[in-house]
Amino acid sequence: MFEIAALKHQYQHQEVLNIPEWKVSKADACLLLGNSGSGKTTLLHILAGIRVPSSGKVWVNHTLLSELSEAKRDQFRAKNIGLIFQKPHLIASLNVSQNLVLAQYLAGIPQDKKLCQRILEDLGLGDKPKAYPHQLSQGQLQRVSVARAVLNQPALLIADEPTASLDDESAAQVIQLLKAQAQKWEATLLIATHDQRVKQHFTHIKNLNHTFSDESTQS
Amino acid sequence: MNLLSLSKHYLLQNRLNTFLNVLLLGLGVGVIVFLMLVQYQLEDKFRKDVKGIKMVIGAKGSPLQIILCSVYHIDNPTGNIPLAEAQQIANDKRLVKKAIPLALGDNYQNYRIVGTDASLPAHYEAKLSKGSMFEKAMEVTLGAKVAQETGLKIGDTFNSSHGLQQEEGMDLSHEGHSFKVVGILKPSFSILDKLILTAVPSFWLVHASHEEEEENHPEEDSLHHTASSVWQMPSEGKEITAMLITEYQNPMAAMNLPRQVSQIGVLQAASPAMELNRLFEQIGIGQQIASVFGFILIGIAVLSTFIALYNALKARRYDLAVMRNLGASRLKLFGMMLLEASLLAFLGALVGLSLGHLAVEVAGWQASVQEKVYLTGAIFLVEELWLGALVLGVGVLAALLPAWQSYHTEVADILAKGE
Repeated sequence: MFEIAALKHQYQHQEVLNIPEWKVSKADACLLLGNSGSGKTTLLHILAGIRVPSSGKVWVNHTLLSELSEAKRDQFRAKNIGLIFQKPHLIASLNVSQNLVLAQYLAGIPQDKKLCQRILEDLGLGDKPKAYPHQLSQGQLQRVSVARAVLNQPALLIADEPTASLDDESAAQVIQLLKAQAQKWEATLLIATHDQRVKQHFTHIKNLNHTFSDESTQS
Repeated sequence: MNLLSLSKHYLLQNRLNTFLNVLLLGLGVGVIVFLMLVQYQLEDKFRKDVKGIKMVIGAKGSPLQIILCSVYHIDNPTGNIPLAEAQQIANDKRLVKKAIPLALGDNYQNYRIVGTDASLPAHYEAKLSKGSMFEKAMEVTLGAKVAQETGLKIGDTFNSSHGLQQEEGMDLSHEGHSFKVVGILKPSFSILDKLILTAVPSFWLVHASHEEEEENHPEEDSLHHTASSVWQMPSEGKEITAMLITEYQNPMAAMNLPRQVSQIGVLQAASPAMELNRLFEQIGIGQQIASVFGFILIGIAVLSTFIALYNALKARRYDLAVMRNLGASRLKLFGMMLLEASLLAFLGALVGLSLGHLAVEVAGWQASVQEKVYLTGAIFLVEELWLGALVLGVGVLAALLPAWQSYHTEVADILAKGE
């Protein structure tokens, strides 16, 4: 779960984000719609503790992020937040299994190769632990990045444009996969996208174009 | 998974770059290690052989040549000196306590035959392996290496050749005067190992003209049988090559003796310590140039490491951002970059040390084939540890800027750009 209060963020004195209030419950799935430059990614980064907002408060899993030092935020993020990017960036010098174990190592939790293998099997990648990123298709890479994001059983799963450059069928598969994984690990799911095809999979939709509002009020 | 294995994977991913960096660093370290080992062993060898020899007195000429010829047996004599004048010095009880005579001029299979007395092997604390020490003229005691290489045994006889080295295609052997092997020394790892020792009168016998021989000189018989000190023998018409002063009567003699020697027209005194220092200074210039070359190689390698890490950093910005995102602290990324550089430097140092030792071993093998000097790669100097530490230090230094930049990686900006 996460909660936002009076959040504002500026770039060079220009306001790019203004969210008076937003609360998403545990295991809820919501969609954040917005065009390029609307501040979606900035909001995701603030929620992930990667970026510090100009003002306002953000709680993730009952923890006020602004109270944490940068190092503590890094550790908090590693254990509580799973991030999936548009490009499923994996460390090229490590194989799939090592990429997953790296996430455990950096989060400071015990390295559990069996858990990694279970998750890979769950995502249809049971035969790929030794494969290197360059040996995988784009879809397989995206699934590995999902596996890496859910591996540490985060409270909040964030995906930034996960369906960009995917065809309809693949886009639908990725969304279903994310929803299923979030449900399985009882994580709150937040997907940010400008892809209107994704809307049909969600009931809780927020729009970030111009102002922060419910999608129903915009349409 | 830990930082070390992560660094290892990154280095393995860029195998060629890693290999070239390690090789470059290894070559630099190798050159310096080679020079260090050779310099150490040469100096050690030179100082061991000069052990306790305070002064060498020979015929006028280059003092360095006198030392190289009389102590190290690697150069020709500057000439001979009259025995009478040598005796005058050796028997001067105010100045000299111990003096060792040397008579050179012949060889057997390129091994020098040295006319001397028992005080020379005693000075080097040589021990007999077989037989006895030479006593009479034409008896010889062989150095360990001479015996091993020539195959001469106790009781064998041989004729010497004129000159300090065998001349190709020329028969300069002294017929009619055979040396007889009476003893073989244990290896002493000094110059003695490569010498054939005999009494000084052997030389006078071998080099006496045929006319003199035919006259059946009554003195010759006495030479054959005498074991008395050269310094007490009749000196008329006789010469030796040099004398080694191993003990002064008093400290003041060290200053007075050269003055006295210079007053005797044909003699010249040479101090091994001074000449060695001069020699090492001259050799040192060459070594310094080679060392500079080695350090330049290390410098290039460090620069190359810096460039490799810097370029790798640019290529890995997104990796670093992802790792930050996965929970890696700035300090962890900083440490990872330093660790990579340390690994490169460590491997470079290891390769360099191995190359250096291997090169010395090969050079030692070559040198032993040519009977010049003994060198081995199987020794380790404390200075090598310092060199290794220095290489590690500069390797880490080369990584500081890339590491600092990785420390300041702005995750959000990089992820936002989606590079």
